[in-house]
Amino acid sequence: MKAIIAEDEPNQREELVRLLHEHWPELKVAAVCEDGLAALEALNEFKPQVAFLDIRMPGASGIEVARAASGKVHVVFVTAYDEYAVAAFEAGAADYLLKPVTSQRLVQAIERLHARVTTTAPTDLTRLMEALALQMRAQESRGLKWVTASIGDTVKMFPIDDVIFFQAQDKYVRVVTAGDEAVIRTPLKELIKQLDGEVFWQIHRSLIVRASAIDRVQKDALGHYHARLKGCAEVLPVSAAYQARFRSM
Amino acid sequence: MKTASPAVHPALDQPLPADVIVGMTWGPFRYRKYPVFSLPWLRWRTAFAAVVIGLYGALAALAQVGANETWPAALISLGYFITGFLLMATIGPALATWVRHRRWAARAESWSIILAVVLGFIGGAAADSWSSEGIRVSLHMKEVPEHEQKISDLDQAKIAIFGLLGGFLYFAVGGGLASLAYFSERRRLRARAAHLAQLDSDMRLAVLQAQVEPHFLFNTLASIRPLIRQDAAQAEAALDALADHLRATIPQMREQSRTVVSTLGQQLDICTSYLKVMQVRMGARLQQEISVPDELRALAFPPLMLLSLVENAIKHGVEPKPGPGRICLQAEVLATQLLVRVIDDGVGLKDGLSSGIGLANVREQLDVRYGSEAWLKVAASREGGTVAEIMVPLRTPTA
Repeated sequence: MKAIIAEDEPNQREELVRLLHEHWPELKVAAVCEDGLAALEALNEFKPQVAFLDIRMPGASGIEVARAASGKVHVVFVTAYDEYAVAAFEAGAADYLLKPVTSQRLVQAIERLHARVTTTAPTDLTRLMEALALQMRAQESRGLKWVTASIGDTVKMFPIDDVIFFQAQDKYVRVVTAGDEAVIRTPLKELIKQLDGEVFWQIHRSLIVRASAIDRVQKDALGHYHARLKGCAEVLPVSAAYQARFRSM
Repeated sequence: MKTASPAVHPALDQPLPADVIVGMTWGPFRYRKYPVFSLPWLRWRTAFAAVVIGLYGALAALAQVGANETWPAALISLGYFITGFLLMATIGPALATWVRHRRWAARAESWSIILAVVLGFIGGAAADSWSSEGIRVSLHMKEVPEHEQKISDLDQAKIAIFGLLGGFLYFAVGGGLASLAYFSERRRLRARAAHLAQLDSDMRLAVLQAQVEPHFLFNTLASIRPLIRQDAAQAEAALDALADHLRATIPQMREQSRTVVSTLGQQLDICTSYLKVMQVRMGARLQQEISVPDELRALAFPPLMLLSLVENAIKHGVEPKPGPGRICLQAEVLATQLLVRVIDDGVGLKDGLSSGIGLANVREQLDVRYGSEAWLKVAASREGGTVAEIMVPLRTPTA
């Protein structure tokens, strides 16, 4: 049986190799990877049956590696503390080991692996991992505080609380605050995923606006809707698809 | 024992923090930059009063000469006028300034200042009647005996109005307005101290969260654990570094560290123990370099900001980047400022949204502590990583 190990911290990597050697001598560790990218390559190269994956790694996260390995490899997450790994375990998709890894718990995981490797094919993790990757990103964005825009080699940082709206323009997105503005390269589609949907509303294909900054929405003679803002003279179009939100206002 | 709280006792020889100053401070109003009833305040306020009174008196003297008064008489009366008015305007404030420089406890200071200003009113009234008498004699005006004064109802109303105006003038010029300003300044200083304390505890909480964050703590334990078997000495050193790191930051949560002066040296030591822990975890992947001249270590530097920057550089710069990473701490003195720099060659800043954990707090703290005299700058470094710089005014700790 072949396995790969992916863990970015050297001491932990060596320790896991040692523990596996001690408790599962017949397992052949085909590759010991320092980051997610190396793990992805090792998956292709060695076609292991088992993968021990740290979740937070440079390059690609353990979740992303697991997604690539889905249906081909039995995954065991090795993690400091991650509800993702536990969720995957509860869904019957993958086992997990909590750091620091103890012999006792490792032996238990090895027994489970033995049973699964011989009887069942590796679970299809694609869906679950996609959901977990989304969750992970949502959790990261919960702490969002800044919009970072580079101008030349300096970086301008706006507190997210100052932003009135984001507007897509060609390849760029305009970020407008009460007294300032800048352009960023993150597409609007990406932004909307990371922003709090209660605070920022999409009102147009190319516009995301802070809901509390909308002063009023008016209909013009042609039946088009426009939003007037507090603290900003610009008048923004509201497209038909997004008007429903204002009907009750 | 009572310690001097900066909320009640700001430095009396320096301008107030920018966010405590109210009103205009240009030209003649520059006294408002200083704490009310401090020596520089008294000096500039007296100069201001002298100029106003001098100009007014000079015009009055010219008018008297125009009304066939002799020059010497007009000048003597001008002298009386200026001296009397200046005494009236400064006796109370000067006494109050003497009081404030004694740095008594808050309550004692308030009552003594009120007393000083009231004494000032009495002294001012005496000075006023002395100078009025002097002016009357020098201009050969006749004193009208009281029983010969005929006072009509209209005159009585006029006297009442002038009395009221005069009373208000006495109050305003003699230190009444200054006392009001003194109490409002104290309120603003207290509000500022409360705000600073809030920011301070926010920052401590953020740092503490970073340490007890399971990812940090369990990864550290998992990295140290195998060392116990392989290399006991290194395991010991690693545990010591972890303990140092935790101790360096946790105890400050409890003690009111605002009374403890924080130096650049202490802040560097806190970063060093953190970097030692990260070195154990990341091994050869992490390269670090601290180049801070020893003589800068004694300079004052606000607590935990540097650690926030270093944590950010590791967590958002070096750690997420595959392969080796480098972090570099530098400090230098530029004229009257201390510049501290944290450079990494990590993944760098990406356009878009980011969660600069401590950055918002660092920026706000700098703003409250130093106003426009300090800043935090975050930029892309030439090597593709990030440079974070904090500039603070050069100060040696005053304990």
